Amino acid sequence: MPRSNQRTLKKSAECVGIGLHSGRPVSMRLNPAPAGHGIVFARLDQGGRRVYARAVNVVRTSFATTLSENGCSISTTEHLMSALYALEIDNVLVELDGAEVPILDGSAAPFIYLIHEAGIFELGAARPRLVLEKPLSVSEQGGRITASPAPSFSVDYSINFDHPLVGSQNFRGSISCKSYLSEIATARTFCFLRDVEALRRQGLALGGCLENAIVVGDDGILNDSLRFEDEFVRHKVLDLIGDLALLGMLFVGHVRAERAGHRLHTRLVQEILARPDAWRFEGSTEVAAHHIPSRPAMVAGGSQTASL
Amino acid sequence: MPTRWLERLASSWGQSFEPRETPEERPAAGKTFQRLSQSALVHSACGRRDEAIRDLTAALRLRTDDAALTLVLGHLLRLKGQYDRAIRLHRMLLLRPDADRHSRVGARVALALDYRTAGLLKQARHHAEQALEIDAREPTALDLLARLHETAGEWQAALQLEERLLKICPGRSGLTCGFLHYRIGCEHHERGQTGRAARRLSRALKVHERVIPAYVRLGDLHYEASRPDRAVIYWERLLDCQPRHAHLVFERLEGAYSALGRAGKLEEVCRRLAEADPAHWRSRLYLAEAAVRRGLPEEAARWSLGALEAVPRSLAAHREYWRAAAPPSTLPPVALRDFLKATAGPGAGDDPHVCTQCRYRASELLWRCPQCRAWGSFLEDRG
Repeated sequence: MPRSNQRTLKKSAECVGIGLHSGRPVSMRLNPAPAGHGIVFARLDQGGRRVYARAVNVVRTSFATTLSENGCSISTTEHLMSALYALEIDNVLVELDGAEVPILDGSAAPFIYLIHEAGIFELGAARPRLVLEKPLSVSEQGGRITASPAPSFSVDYSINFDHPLVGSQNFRGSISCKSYLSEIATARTFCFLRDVEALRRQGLALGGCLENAIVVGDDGILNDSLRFEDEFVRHKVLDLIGDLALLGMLFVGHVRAERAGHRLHTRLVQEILARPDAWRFEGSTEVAAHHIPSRPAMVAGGSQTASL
Repeated sequence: MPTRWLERLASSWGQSFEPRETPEERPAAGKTFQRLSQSALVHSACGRRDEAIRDLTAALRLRTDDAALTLVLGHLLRLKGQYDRAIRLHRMLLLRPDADRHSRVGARVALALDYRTAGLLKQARHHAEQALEIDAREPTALDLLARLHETAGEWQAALQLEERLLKICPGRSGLTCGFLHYRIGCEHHERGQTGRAARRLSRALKVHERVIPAYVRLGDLHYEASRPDRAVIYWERLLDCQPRHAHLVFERLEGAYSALGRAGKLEEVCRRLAEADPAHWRSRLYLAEAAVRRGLPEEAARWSLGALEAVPRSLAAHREYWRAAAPPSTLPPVALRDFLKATAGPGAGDDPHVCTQCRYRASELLWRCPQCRAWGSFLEDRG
């Protein structure tokens, strides 16, 4: 398989959107970054304190993936991470003036637009790839994710909600930049009307509205229409990709997920990183070293075996 | 109906809806421009957006200068979340050398809608402002910009735009305008600027009498300033103008009447409300509670049964009925206490209010829907 180089943005891109939980406007700027930098969030409202997009920094997974480092946290990271992963952007400094990545329209499509507006720049270093060689699985509370070796990244995701409008849905397919853009990126996040008020009472989802989520009521969806018949499961795939992006490397393998969520997604990432015997490493070590701190130094640009 | 919408759209662009076809036009995959555009409209009308997008894309390959169809395609792409393509199309419209004033306004509005739908507020605001630079009376741009200011909590700016909209669109309701005055009044009140707050709140009621919280807040302002007589005027106005919302001021009126030495006046008011409207269950409930306080269980049972008949699904009415009517001989006090305890607190009898715009349900009356952002859209839903 040809080895590609790491990528970043050609120039900065900025936007103002609403924070899902705070309901307040949040400014976000995506900045180019050098090879080996990785995806890093900077809180401008906290003196530029940084949070690295790494699995070890996941602190909360209810309703969204929250990262935290040295007391500084960023929530709702998964849609941006998903878009960056799909467009194979390895290095970006994400500046925010709040604690949340803006929800925008609840999908990854607006992030894709921003990235395309900024342009993509190829860097000199090779991109790290994690090639799975042995199956791994995590499960809890009726949910299960299994990752197994495969020649490319593919997903088989099933959901089963006790609601006639959602019910059982399945998405199966190979994930490439092209397939992501046409089949996954525009799928919006969703919630059930019966849960919304409880969330709001807890001070959560204050920015949530029909403009940034599909709201499923007892007798129909409150939005005008769906973008896909199976938009719900497609969004789960979007979330899975965003959480897998916390590996910091391209993932090569097949993921089968049943009734999973952010918690299981991130547990899978942690399980993969904790089991170096189950995968092989290819590409630059600069980014990978951040994500696998306990791993001995790897040869730059070379393929590594899991025995390291 | 999308076809009519397209006709209007095409007409607003100074074009005929009748698809033009020239002999030299080459059919795409055996289809002509006319067939493709008609087929796209049929697909769109039937909700088959993917097919509509496919045919419109093919049609516009044959005739790239068709502004109306370009806007339709952009609209469908926006609904599908394909912002890249929608924005590219609308930018091309804007950059066309032959673009006249109407075309440029249309393209700017379309871009503002693209960015707004994508949640990119800064860009949406920019294009809406640009549209208004060209045509200061463009209603979609005015509305969009007003909503963007609301999202940012910029009530004054939103109000100015809403007032412009009211002048331009004669059929437009002043309710949003009234609620924006109310929001500004609340901010003055919170900052302790009571005079300015009172003027704003009065203005809200002048603009629209259904700005119900303005009655309540105006009364509160006067009550806080030790003027219960003035407070009562606003709260009683609420009873007259919006009797279904009278319960919002029951407790307030009880305190104010008591301060004015008119204890018992609220019972009189509630009797009037109950007589005027058989469905006015809250006044009956108040009368039942008052009867319990006065040690008149039979009267209490009668009023609470009346409330229950009006709203059989109301847990509050059931609770009051059992509290008022349960004879101690048949129901041990401990059983009644346990029933009242089990049916109180969070979770019990939730969701009696529903937004008439988007069907969002809430356990309390909200003045602005958190889901669709409509003002004053909640109704009590008691089945």
